[in-house]
Amino acid sequence: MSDLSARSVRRSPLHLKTAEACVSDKWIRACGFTVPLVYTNEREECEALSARAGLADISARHCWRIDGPDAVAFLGFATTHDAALIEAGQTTRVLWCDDSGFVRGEGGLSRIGSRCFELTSVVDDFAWFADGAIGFDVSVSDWTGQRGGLALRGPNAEAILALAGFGASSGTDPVKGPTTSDAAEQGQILLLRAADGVELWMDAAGLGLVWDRLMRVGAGFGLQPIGAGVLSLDRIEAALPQPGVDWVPAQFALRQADLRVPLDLGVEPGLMRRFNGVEALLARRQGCGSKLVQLRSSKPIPLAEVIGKGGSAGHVTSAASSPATGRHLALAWIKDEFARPGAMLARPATSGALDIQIARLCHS
Amino acid sequence: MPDVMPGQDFDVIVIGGGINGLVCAVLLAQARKRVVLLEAQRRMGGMCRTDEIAPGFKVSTLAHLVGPLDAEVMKQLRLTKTGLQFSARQIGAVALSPDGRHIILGEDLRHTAQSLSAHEANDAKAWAAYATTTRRLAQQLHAWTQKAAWPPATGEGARAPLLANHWRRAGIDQAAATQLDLSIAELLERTFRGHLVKGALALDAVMGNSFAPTAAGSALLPVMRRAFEPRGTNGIMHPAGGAGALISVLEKAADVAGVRVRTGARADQFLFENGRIAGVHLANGEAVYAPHVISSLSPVQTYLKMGAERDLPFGFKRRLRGYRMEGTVAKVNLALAGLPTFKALDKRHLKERLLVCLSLEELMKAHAAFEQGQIASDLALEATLPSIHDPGLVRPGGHVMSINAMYVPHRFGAGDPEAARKELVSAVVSRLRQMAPDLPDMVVGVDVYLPQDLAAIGDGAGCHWHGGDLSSDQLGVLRPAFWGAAPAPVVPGLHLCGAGTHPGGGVTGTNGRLAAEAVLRAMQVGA
Repeated sequence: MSDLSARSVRRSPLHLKTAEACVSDKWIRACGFTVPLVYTNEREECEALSARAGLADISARHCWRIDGPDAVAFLGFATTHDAALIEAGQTTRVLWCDDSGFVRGEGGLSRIGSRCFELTSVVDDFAWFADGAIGFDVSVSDWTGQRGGLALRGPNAEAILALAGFGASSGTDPVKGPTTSDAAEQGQILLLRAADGVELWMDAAGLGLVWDRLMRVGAGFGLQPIGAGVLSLDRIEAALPQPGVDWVPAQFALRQADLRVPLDLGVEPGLMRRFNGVEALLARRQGCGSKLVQLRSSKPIPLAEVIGKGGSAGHVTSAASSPATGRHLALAWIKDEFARPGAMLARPATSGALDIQIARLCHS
Repeated sequence: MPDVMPGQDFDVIVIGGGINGLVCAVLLAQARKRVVLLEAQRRMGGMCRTDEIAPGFKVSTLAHLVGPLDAEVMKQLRLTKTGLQFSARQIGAVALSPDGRHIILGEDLRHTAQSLSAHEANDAKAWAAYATTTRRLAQQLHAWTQKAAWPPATGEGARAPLLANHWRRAGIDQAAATQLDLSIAELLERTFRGHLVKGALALDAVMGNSFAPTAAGSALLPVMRRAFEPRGTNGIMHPAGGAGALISVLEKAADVAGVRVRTGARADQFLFENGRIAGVHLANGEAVYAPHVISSLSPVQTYLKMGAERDLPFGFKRRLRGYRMEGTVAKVNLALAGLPTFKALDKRHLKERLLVCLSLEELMKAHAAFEQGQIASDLALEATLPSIHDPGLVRPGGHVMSINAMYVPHRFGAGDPEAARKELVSAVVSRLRQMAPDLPDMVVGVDVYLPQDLAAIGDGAGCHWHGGDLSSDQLGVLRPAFWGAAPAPVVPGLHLCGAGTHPGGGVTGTNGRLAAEAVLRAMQVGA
């Protein structure tokens, strides 16, 4: 369920570079692309990420371009975010819902011109947007595979970025989310700053050059390629849930219990604004009764049910153990009555119960 | 200078003057609503019309039979009291065979069993079981066809509005529901051994639809047709004077009820005010205002081509884009100098529908050709000879034959329609000659409508015989597309009343009645 894409397997635009660096020859499929799971070994990559810097190929995402006079109106109706509030060069996390108000997907919406936007997501939902555009003066085109992204993370990331000549002047706005420096100044490279690092998005043709440049400049800072395995660990440490792993997009949900409304994913859209599914949300006005939380424990946390006082408290959706720090973390859906930072839960086991603590709420 | 009428002129605008538009308009006017009916053509009727195809030869040029007519509509519109007469009722079917061993598929079980046993002895017994089961299931589905289809407001059914949920609520047991899920081909293969009965019943089931008889769920169709009137009191009928006579009676009813009827008034865009419908804009530049608009046009034309598409929920829009409504039937009307001779067929059976399809394999081949944009050499036909029971249609001694030909692709004849019409007539006449050798020599006039001609008569968005495939993904709450669990229009004030709504096509008037009831409810709650 982690890959929500079609059955085709494609190479990332950076495949030749990553294949050269991937000495472990361990690969994984993501969004229809094959990407390195680990380049050397997980411990090394974890250490690089926490102590120096790591560079990852994040091109394995769906990328759609929405262009036309009605782009703002269309995206304003298609997503839970008012696209008019996104400034040129800015990126915002957005959700989109089905007609019943259940979340179909989430992604990063970047404004790359007055009437041109780019939406990247791990959820394959191009047809939904393309069909939804009927009646709007916009074109929705699929740029997946033609755009590529790099994630630069770790304590030395900013220094490497500055030395490589990419957007040292851009800052992070905690209210508006990640911001970019001027896209035109950077030769159409979108520089996105997020809580867990920096992302650079560009046309696939230029991706190899930028990879080489960052690796060359970063060599003196201990920069190392990091694979999908360590990226996943990083995601769990940052308490960032992933569609298809931690929650099920509505179009893939087989059970009513798997459906999520925006509130469940930490988004409170203004219900006075018209967007797809808002009527149903107005009628419902409540979440699924559980919250996504980050758990920590002294031992590895299994992907299983966890117990609170009086019975089942919820279930773990993704878990990881850091070989570098020795931390054992997980993300889980926990019922509202148990979902408080610091609350203690347990996982029964034959060798004795495993104590688990709620570290924080994912969307707080 | 366009005649722009500001303010609210009417309570309701009904678009389209076919049977459903007329029924809906009359029922609303009877409920003291100010109703205007807009018809794009110069005359009313939609697919119900009677025309002279040659001097002294009149026929129902498009839909050639009606019914079962909605009992409530008959009663409320007092149709029989206002002059509607039928030249034939309870019209059954005859599966024609070139060797004269025809099969009579009617209400009389004994008669049918006799004709079946001429082919396969076991089929006579099988028919009794088949007919009984069909009637029983039809009885159980009757209520479903007679009221608006809404899914349960909560629970799995609200999200998965499958027909199975309806069957469960209708009290249909699991075994019967399983039968409804079958393809008609599989059901017939399980039930009968004779090729002719299987071919004819399969044709009768899928007539007008674009799917093959092997399509899952197509076993529902004979049951569904019967469900409109499980007891078969009137059944399928022929109005005296043809289908156009039914429209004339409805026009009179509209006049008596106070409906303002405007022909030559093509609605091309909806008008909106604060997110709800406010009226329609006509092709001549005029605007007509009303807080409720009811369209008997196809769902695709109504929602995606007249200005409402921008505000539609994406899921609804996607479903409509996938709504299958391309035509599969061509209509051929023949003026005949005399009565053709069908070998060994009693004249009293000529009032029935004459089905020409000799086997399931033949129908599958016709469908395979259809899928490739061609017509098969052996077309499947449903023919009627209305002049047998309605002699007023023709000059003395003459006859008219009305024929539905399946499967004819929507794009057939796109390059050269005239050549396609000739090819079609030749194929139809040649096919009928197998059953009635003297028929070709009697043809004195021909009238042909390809699917594209039917589209031009309608709204242009489709030309489906039933307003859209009657497949399990396009029935009930899914017709034309699922819209939540609440019985509210997806665009406030905009309703549908055509064959593209539940319970589907057929000249019944039920769609129009259900739409009128829904609008009256919406008016009561101020929706």
